[in-house]
Amino acid sequence: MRRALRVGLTLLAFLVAWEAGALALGPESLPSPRLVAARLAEVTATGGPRDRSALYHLGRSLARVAVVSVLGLALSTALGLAMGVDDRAERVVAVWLPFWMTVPTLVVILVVMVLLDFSEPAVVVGVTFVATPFATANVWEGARAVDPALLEMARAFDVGRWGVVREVYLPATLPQVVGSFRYLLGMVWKVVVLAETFGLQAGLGAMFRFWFNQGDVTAILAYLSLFVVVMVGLQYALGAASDRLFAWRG
Amino acid sequence: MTAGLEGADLTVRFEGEDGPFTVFEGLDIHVDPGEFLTVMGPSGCGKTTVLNALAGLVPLERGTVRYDGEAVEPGSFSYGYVFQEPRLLDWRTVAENLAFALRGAGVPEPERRPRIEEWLERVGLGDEADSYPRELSGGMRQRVGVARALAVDPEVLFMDEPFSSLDDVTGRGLRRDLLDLWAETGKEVLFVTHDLREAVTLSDRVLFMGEDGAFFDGAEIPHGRPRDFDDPALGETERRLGERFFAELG
Repeated sequence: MRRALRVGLTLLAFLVAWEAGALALGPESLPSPRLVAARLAEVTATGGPRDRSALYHLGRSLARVAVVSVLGLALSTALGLAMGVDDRAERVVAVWLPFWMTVPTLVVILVVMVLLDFSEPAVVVGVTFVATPFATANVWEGARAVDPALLEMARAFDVGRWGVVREVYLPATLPQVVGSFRYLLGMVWKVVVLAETFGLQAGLGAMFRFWFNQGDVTAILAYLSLFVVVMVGLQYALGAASDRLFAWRG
Repeated sequence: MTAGLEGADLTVRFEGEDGPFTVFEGLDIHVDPGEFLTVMGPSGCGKTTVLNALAGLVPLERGTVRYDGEAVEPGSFSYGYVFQEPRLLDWRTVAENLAFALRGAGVPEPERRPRIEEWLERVGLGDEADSYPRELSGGMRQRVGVARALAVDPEVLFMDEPFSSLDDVTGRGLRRDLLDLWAETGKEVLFVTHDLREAVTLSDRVLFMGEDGAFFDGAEIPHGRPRDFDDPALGETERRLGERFFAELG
């Protein structure tokens, strides 16, 4: 209850600041929350360009975010755990990881979009490539922190490598895996929108580009607010799920 | 041919920061069938490494291990291990912690549940099967460790100062229960401690290890069983052995 109150107050403060900013700058530069809400209702109900409503574009973007997040999580968990369990895997991946992490996102997205002809797979491949190394490093850190005493115990009881991965490494790194997922989700949606802005016809990024070209800031903010609400909701849901998942921490 | 567990010419060296470091060299040890043998020595003398070398948890540079007269790979005979700390998987329930070891020991699935229930009952934790380790007291967690080691129905039980971190009352209760369980099952026990009173109360025989990692003395404990922890005769034996032991250690 207290938390709900805090969230409500934060939201209210944000809206008040927004309203004040809109009053000071004028609706041309910063449309007021009411204007944006009205525009949101409009683009959601009646549709924007090519008769596609905002919900359609939201759905397309969310689908991409979902595919990339799950793919990125699977890849980074597999890589991070492999690095934790196997010295050879650690040596090979650890050499590449810093390079992988420092390639600028924008360059990767542009190159992959051009290579894969601005297609749907281009977004998936490009964003997965950008998002995975950070989550991998995170899971790897978790796997390295696994208590060696537990690994010795598992050896004493003759538990095989897969048993150790499943019963020791995976649960021990689950906080990092879930944390990585929340992080991935937060990062991936921004990069998905970026990729859509560059060269797709559907998705929120495409809409940002369209309305930017029209010079319609109100519409851009309307689409943005829709997406932010959905993503924040998802983050909260994930937070609640992870609290349940880690009930054993007592 | 000698029955029981035998290690001959055991030599373990670790790579230290200043080059190789010898824990012990040419060590011989023999546990008779059904015997309760204790290795007693000051902290850091290599007692635990003796267990770990026999259990195959640290590599032997030299030496042979025999079980019932047959030369075997270290740790390839059936053993259970109770560590100084309980080493439980915090994210698994008590029953699942036992199941982890049973799976490693190759116990078929349908047999696991009844065995887990039986052993939890025997260590007095029949009602805690579904509890998580963090919900238990230190003594209860160590009981889970004992149940886990015995549930795999080992030929040999290794115990590395299992009661040293417990308070006096809890430790006494656990020692008494351990002796009862040992009398029922007739396992060979190789026990490590630096507490002479504990060694005298529990063991058939005690080996004294010096700081150089060699056994410099040993003694049969000439008391019948069951033994009472507060028996003055045990206190007398403790005093007598203590004089021998500490005189040698200086």
